[in-house]
This record gives sequence, structure tokens and C-alpha cells, in this order.
Amino acid sequence: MLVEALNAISNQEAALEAARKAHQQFPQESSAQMALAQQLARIGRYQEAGPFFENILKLEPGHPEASLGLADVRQKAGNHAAAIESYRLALNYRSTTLAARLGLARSLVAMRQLPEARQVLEDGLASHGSEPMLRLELSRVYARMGLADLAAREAEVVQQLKAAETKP
Amino acid sequence: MLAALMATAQTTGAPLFTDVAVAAGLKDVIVSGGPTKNYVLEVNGSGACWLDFDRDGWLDLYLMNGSTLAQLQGKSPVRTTNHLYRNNRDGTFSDVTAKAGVPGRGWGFGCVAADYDNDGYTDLFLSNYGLNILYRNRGDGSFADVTNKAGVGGGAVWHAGAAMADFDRDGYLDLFVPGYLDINARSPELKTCEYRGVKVHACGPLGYKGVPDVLYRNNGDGTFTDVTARAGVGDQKLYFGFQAVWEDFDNDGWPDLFVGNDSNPNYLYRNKGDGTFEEIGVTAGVAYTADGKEMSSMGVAVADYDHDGWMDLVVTTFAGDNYVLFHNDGKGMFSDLSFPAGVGEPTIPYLGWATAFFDADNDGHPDLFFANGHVYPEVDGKLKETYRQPLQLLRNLGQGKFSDFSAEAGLRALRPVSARGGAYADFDNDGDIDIVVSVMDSAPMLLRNETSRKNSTAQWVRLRLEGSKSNRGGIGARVKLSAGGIVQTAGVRAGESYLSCNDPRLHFGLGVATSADVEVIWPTGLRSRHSGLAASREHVLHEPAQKH
Repeated sequence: MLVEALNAISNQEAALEAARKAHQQFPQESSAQMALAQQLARIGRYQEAGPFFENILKLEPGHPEASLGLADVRQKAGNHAAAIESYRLALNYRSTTLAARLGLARSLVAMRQLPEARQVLEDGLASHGSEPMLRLELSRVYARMGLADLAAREAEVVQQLKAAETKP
Repeated sequence: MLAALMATAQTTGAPLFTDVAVAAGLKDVIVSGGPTKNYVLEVNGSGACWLDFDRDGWLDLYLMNGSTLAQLQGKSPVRTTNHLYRNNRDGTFSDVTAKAGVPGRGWGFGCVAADYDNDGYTDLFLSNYGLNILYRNRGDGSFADVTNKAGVGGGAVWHAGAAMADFDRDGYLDLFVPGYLDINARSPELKTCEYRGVKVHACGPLGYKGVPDVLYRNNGDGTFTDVTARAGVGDQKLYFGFQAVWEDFDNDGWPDLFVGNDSNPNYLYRNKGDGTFEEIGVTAGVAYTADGKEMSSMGVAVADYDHDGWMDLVVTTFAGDNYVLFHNDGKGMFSDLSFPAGVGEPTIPYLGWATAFFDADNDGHPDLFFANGHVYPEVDGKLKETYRQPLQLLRNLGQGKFSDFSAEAGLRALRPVSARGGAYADFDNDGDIDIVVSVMDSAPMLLRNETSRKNSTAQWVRLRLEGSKSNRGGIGARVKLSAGGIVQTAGVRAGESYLSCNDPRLHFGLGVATSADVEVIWPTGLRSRHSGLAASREHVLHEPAQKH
């Protein structure tokens, strides 16, 4: 709770300290490990976060948030083949499906698997078509595939959705 | 080679960079409002430009200076001026501002140095809060204010990091000036907002209206025409433009334009070759980070850091966000490789401004420099973040990876500062790249690179381009240099980093190679080849009269 509260005011370092203390107090608790790992990832310390996610997955194989977290760690390290594997696991869970879809598409793009990336994103349109992030990724993928008109259309949608997000 | 250089630095305990500003005579304080920073106008600092205004072969320095609200409001006499420091060729500089007639006016922010009239002498464009200024170099050590005649004053608004290039390839340099933020300095509103739980006053830019960007086409007769709307670079959303940079990102021979916007998506304008541009920032992958977030883009630098023949971008951002390395995947499509490349994690704690790619150790791989400093003095003692922050150098390890080399480079031993503008040049012509950093409410730092003194085996070559059909300074030329089994690609640019302008000469580290072969693609499209250029000296390359 404290971690979330501190995050809410963007005091990331204090949130990290709180997460560390909670983990020191309850080292075996996967929720404490998860809070610490996610906070480390949130502030870009992916290498440090990786072992915590791995540990949670040892205790709870298939844990969706841990799979997603590990996938992000692998992607940020440039290990896209392994990231794809973890993203595919996370894709099966409702709580992580959008983030996993986006991450999966990005790693597929990095591996130059553009048709697969396109498919992953287009499959998400039905459930997450109003998410600017999904449309942004789709725009980038279309552009790389040389589908300029589709890319421009998606870029326009992104701007509209983002503008709607920022309206009071 | 690099390992040897590191070993040298470590075994001698000597820093790679030494701050020699005081000894060099750079003692004038850069002013940026009062010490408490109550208004957004006071927090963005100013830039620096290297130029050889007297054509003696030694880079002189122009430092922008801010002002105070009291001065702008006429409540106190105007005491601040910009500074032109003439290089005395012995490691020191003399202030020749008054003699040269380049004091500036208003509240100075950015500068660009380039020869807009092709007379062989480098001119100066200054972006201000207030009217911008174009100083024409008369060639006798003095400048004339030709702003009105040229038509580039831009109105009494806030403009930021301008850049020049010949976008229509007619042989004359054109000018792009980003507009930042609409604020009334005569009666500014004292705001209060919260930053991570700390009450601060210099709130912005969100909550303000932006100022439109402007593109001026050079008519070739000393005047410019505002072609912003016609060219399609109209900034209709009034994003907060901070720094522009021209470069041919899709290798089609036409200079494209990247505009780093603060707290808004960045623009990438693809030059269509017919006098118009298409904005493709979103689809090209540079408008947002990999995670789809807007950046508080401050400074911008360009280089082909991985020697794949495509020009990449780095953007400095706000504290808590990583600086963003956009790798050009080819044909102007970019991937945010900040984390895989090792740029993401070390930059998150800092708030970045000036940035530069340059080969600090002459090993043939461009390294990355960042000047940092917070906008809010109020954070001191309340957050882990600090107002004064260390400078950073990330060493290019090859294979697209960087590693934080700040401590080994001596930057951690320097006083932490709240840095803003910054530009590189080999000011002492000793074969390695030095850096000037503009510091808030303090004299600047002049970081002399000690590489050439510490290790004589690292070779280099410096190229000065002189256009004939192209613009005289060769700005926009693309150079491919082959040496030691590496092909390095670089471009000549005017306007980069943050509100600043780097050495117009191209410096290449060669490692152990003793000569280099060079191909120049001039802005007009003409190519010239220069074989067997000897290392450790400067070469002047002239544009050929025709294709060969």
C-alpha cells in the first residue's frame, strides 16, 4: 500500500525503499518480492528486478505478472527470443494481456517478424481498440511493413485517443 | 585500444577531462533569473556555440546569457550580455564581445553559428525571449545586426534551439527556429505546483500555451522568407519546441528535420524534396518512447554510433525518465534501444540538457556525453534528487553498447553543477574533443580532454569542408571515413545538443590506423573522394566543381 501511495506522488526512490523494507521483513512472501521487482522495473533497474521475477516463477510457475515482468527484463536486455516466450505466457491472462501483447509485438518487431507482430496487435483490436498504445504499436508496425496509409491512419487515431485522454 | 586507454587513465589516476575554464579566462557568470527560480523562464538556461569567427583556424566561443525579470521589466539596468571569447591559441580566451558588437539583447537562450551568406565568414543567429537576432560577420572581427533586413526577428516571443541546413539544396542555408512557451515576462504569474510532494514555483511547460515553430527559407540575397505553412512544418498543436536538428535520416539526400518537444511528442519531418515536409514522428518511432510515453525532450544529438550507415538520435529528458536512444533501423524507421544499449538505466536519476556524440578517446566509436541539472532548487534536502548533478560520459563499447565511464573520465571528480547548454570542439587543436558546458548562475565549465596528452598512440583526423556549389560551410554534407576496418559516417550540422552548436569541423578517432580514406557527399549531391589522408592533422576538403 505504501509503495502504491508513494508511486502515486511519483516519489519513486521512497517507494523503492518501502518495497525493500517490506521484502526484508517478509523475504519469502511472493507479494513482497513482486512489489520490489515491479518497483525496480518501474525505475528502470531491470537487471536487479530480473532475479526476483525468476524467483517468483520458481515458486509459482506461470504467474502472470512475474511472467510479464521477466519478459520486460529480457526485452530491455535485448534478449528478444526469451522475451517472446515470456510474453506469450503472460498473454494468456486477462490482467496482463494488453501489456503482454504490446511487449510481444515489440520483440517480434525487433526480431523482424513483422507479419506476426501485426497479427498480435490486430488480434487485440477487439478488446483494446481504444488503447492508444495498441494503436501506436500498430502504426509503427504498418510503417515498417511499408503500409503508409494504414500507418498514417493509426497515427491519427493515436493522436485522437491521446487528446481525449488529456481532456479534463 | 580502448582497454589500453582505460588502463592509462586508471593507472595514472589522471582524469580524461579537466575543467580549465578559469585558467582559460572563462570567468563570466551566466545569469538565469534569480537564485530561487520562481518562474519557468528562469530554469531553462542557455547555450554555447563554437565558431571560428576570425578564420584563424582556432575555434572561438560564443556563450549565450540569460537575464533577470527586473532587467526585462526595466526595473534595473541591463547588466547581462552574451559573450564572444576569442581563442588566443594558447589555451586562453579574450572577451571581444564589445569590439565584435555581439552583446545580444533580451533574454538569450540559443545560438547557431553558420555562414548563411556564403561569404566565408561564420555568422551568428541567436534565439531569445524577445526578438531573435541575426549577426552578420563583416569579416573584420566585427558583426552587424541584420535581423530586420533578413526578416528573422520572429516577434517578441520565446524561441529555443534553432538549427540551419539547406533544406531545398539551393546552396543557401535555411533556418528553423522552434517556439517554446508563451509567457508574459512583464507580469508573470507566480504559480505553485507539486513535484514529487515538494512545493515548487517554476511550474511548466504544461499549463501554458506553446509558441509556433518557424522555418525561414534563405532567399540568397541576405533576406529570408517565412515558409513554415507552405513547407508543412506548422506546429499546429503548438508543442513546446526545445531543440531542432537537421539530418538526412532516410539517406535520400535531402535533410530531414527532428524537433525535440518538451512534454509533447517529438516531430520528425521527412523532406519530400519539393520544398515540403511530411510529419512522420509517430510512425517512424521517435514521437514517443518505446513505452509510448511523451518525453520532456531537452537536448538532441545525432550520430551513426553503430557504424551501420544510418544516423541515430539521442534525446535527454526529465528526471525519473531515461534518456532515449533512437536507433535508426534504416530508411528513417527508429527503435528505442535505450535499455539494450545501456543508455537507459544510468540516465534515469538525472535531468538532462546538453548532449553530444563524440569520440572522446579516439578509438573510432562515438561516445555519449550528457550535461545534467535539475530545474527545481527546492528538491535539495527534500528528495534524493539534487539541483546540481554530475556530468556523464557513456563509453561506446562497440556492438551498439554503452557503459557509464563518468568516473573514469574524471567527471565525478568535478563540482556538481546545474548544467544546461553545452557544445564540443577541439578548441586547443591537440587532436581530441573538448567540451564547454553552460552552468546556471555560474561561470561555464571548459572540459579539456587529456587523451592526446596521455596516450599518443590513439590517432585522429579532422576534416574541414568547404562548399562551392553547396553552402560554403558544407553544412549538410555526409562523410564516410574508412580506417582500421571501420567505416564511420558523420554529418556536418549547425545547431544541436541543447541551444548550442558544435565544432563545425568533423573529428574522427582512428584507433591505431595512420591514414583514412574519405568520401564526401556534398549537400548538392556531388561526391568527392580523398584517399590516404594522413592521421593526426586537419585536412581541408573542397567541393569539386562537377561529379567525378
